[in-house]
Amino acid sequence: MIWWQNLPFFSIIGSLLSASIAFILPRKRARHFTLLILGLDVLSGLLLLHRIILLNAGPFVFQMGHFPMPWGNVIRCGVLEAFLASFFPAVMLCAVAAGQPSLEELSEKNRESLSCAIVLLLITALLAQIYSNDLFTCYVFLEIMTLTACALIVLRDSGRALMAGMRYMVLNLVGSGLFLLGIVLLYSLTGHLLMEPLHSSIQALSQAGTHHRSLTIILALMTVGLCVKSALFPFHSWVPDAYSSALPSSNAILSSLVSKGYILLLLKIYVRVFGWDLVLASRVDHLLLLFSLSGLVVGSLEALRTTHFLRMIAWSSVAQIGYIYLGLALGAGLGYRAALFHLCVHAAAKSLLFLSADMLQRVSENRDRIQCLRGAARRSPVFGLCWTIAAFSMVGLPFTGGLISKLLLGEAALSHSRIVAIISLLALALSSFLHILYFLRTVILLWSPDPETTGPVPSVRVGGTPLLACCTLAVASIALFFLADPLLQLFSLGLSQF
Amino acid sequence: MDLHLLLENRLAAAAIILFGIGLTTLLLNRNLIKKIIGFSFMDSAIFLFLTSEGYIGGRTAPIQLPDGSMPASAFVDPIPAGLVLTGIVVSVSVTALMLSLTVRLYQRYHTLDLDEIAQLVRKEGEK
Repeated sequence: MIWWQNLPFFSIIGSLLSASIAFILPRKRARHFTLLILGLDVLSGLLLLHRIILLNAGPFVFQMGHFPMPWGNVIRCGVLEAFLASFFPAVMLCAVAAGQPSLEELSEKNRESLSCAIVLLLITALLAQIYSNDLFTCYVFLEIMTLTACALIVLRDSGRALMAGMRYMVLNLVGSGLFLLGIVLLYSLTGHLLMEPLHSSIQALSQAGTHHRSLTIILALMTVGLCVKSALFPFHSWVPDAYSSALPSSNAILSSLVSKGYILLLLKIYVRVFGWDLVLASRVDHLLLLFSLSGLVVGSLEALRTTHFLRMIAWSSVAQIGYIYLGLALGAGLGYRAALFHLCVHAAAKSLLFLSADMLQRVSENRDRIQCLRGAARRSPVFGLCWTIAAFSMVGLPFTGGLISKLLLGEAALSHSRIVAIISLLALALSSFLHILYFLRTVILLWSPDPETTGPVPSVRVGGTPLLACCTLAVASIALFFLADPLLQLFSLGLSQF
Repeated sequence: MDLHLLLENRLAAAAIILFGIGLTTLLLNRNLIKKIIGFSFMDSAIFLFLTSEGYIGGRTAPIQLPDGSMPASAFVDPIPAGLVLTGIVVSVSVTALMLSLTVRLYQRYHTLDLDEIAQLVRKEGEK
């Protein structure tokens, strides 16, 4: 084994151990330590990507304890895994760095080190989710992700945050239960938990024409379980409360990374375990199509209706998750590629929306009504610009990554049957129109002069780190437009080896 | 309905019924403690199902003697037991977090009724 093939394992274990260390460090050191570990995770992902592409090596398997498949647990890393293992920690690094001012609120309660430990546990679970090749290991880390995400929501310790945390847990436990039941049924049917042996057994069962109904039920259980956990419509009820009561950095991490971990796992199950033909045969794609199309319309309508700033971004998240699931529902090839691209676009733009929204609220006396934020971007132009870029990316305007993902989704829809194509394109058009209405309305309001402000503009001191982090995310949102071609090539290659 | 088939799979049937009871309690009951009990029911049902799948009649626990004289065919499937053990650890952690949230909510609002707490939170927000 070559030395760099140990990196996936050590990035998971390293992050896990660092979580314990961060917990006992003094608050400022814990924060710097967390940023350092996240930076190392990004570097390890980039190094893996560089090595795999440079050596044209293809995916490799790391045997835990040197037990070969199917006896031992293994982790697997290809181009796609390496890319996501650098992209997700990078977004988290920006979220932690930019959320620094709000973390000071926690220092009064001596919770800053705890929040750093939670973030590191979350990245451990996310990395394990990316690399793991075993369904039960995925379930265990799925639960760790749920627990840490709940801890992130309740960090503020307000009544609303506790209530939102409870709602989040109840729905997520339903999702976990359904997913676990799916795994157990699959194990009882095939006797395997590793993905490649599972795939062979499922293909054999499918070709023999037996257990078609059981496989359909298992696939439906796993799909619905993960849809519930990633807050796809109609399982989104916790989203508006949670996102409007948690800390900005928690919001950024929850919306841009936690839900993506679940989606990635579902993609893995479709590609590596069942195969798209079986998904089509079980008609689970119809279920996904129904949920995602209704999600992207209802999410956009609710975002237009609400008068609260953070709730609007939260409802927009419901719609955007619908876009990613639409890509999954549209299937192998173009659909998966579109889903992956939008996953990255949404991760960068949505975290930027939450982080810069916090800064805009700070220069507006921490008010949450959209109308009260009139002129906020003039009071804080850099964060106003960052929010505007992220909003443009969500709308899908030119020179932002959002445009490419919408074009890809349209292309994927057109490659489908006529009815699916027409319904998907209509829903996409309606949702885009609604996105334009509420995001552009807010952008105009943020940049309008505030007649009530007379005299000097109130300013809030913000350090260089949050500024740099937000600017990095803004650049990433634009870079996704210009780097779309190489990224799509990477996704196609990654999916072919996934 | 084939009664013989149902009897043969009685443990699986019991597990699915228990899972349903747990799921509906978790989703529909307004009392926070009962919700947590519902969750425990749900997870225990899955563990029961998994254990029953791993059990093979007439075989013993998978513990090899020092002289290695026991053949592999003498043992039940050891993997489900391992999975159940891991699952129980996960379930305990989740229960602990849910209980700690419940304690915090009770200390603040002096009720365990989720709807009442939601109303109180709303009133608190309006002030």
